[in-house]
Amino acid sequence: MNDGPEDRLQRSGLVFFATLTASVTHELNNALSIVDQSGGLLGDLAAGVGSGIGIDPRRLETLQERIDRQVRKGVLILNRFNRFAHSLDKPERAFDACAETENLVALARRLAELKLVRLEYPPNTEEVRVCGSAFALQHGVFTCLQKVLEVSEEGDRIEVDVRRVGSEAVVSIVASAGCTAGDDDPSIRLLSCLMESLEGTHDVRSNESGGTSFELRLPLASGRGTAH
Amino acid sequence: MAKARVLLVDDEEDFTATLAERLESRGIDVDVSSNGPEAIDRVREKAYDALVIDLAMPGMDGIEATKRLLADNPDLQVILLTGHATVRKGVEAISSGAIEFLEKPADVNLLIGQIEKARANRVLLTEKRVEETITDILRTKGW
Repeated sequence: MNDGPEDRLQRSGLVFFATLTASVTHELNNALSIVDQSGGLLGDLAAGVGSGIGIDPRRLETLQERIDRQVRKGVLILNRFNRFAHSLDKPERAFDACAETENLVALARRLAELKLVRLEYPPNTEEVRVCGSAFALQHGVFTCLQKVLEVSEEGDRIEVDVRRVGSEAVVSIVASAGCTAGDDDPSIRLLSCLMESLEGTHDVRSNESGGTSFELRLPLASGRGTAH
Repeated sequence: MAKARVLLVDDEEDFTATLAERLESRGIDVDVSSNGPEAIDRVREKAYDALVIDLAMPGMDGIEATKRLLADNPDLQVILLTGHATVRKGVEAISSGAIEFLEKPADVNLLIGQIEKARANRVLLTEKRVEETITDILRTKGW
């Protein structure tokens, strides 16, 4: 297959979407399985009552709390995933890079947890508006996360942050694991294409503690596009 | 007949707590572990008729845990649970030595059927080991 850069971007975007979908649906299925078992247990208890066996009200309270917890968890995941899916609505618009990045980090956290790696996004109330494709930015951040997760081990840490620096929005991904990622690395080539599509730049370097730092720089929105 | 002994291994505490309660109400003796390494320690301390292990767990996944458990104790009967069963995962699960591969949410009666099957397998394997030991003793000792 002899695809152009745009075809390759589309294909890798589809893979990114599919990877997150698989992870999110797995999380949702886990929550639903617990609700399913809790419903089954309620049925068991009801059958017991039918046979004259009393129920300790605390057991019912525990079950209700369990179901509530899983429903809240499921709704939160669904809302985050819905927001992510809507990031594809418009190819170009003004958006808050902090909110979109935070949402992506939350959706990707399970993938880090499976490797016992802590993926963090420190609380940030700042709004940093940029213009372009929110999906492309999330794809870029996810590409960096996947790259460092490949080499991360139990106990490693990844911190993602978004700040306004001068006339730019700077997304930093700082990982405690060190990874070699030259310009010819497929992930870095992809990152380069994505940042180009956002009229931004990227930088990957080893930090003093032996870890890896990614920096994605995008121009701030200057009145173009419409806020979501 | 003694109760069947089962070890549930899953990092979702709400899942193991609920399923354990349902299995216990059906006369099964249930212990719970939240990860693979802890399950390996548990199996060293106590004999189980079946282990029910989640495939996707942080750190050591269900496939790796099954391989390690069976390396130490080849007669163990492992049932793997997964959120989304695919052919590839199913092949991986059975190749790892698991006797069964069930999709979540698992029907409790189906799971109990598999636990009973696991227990029967274990009894047969134990009897076979005893027979082999006796045959070996009779063959090697000069009585």
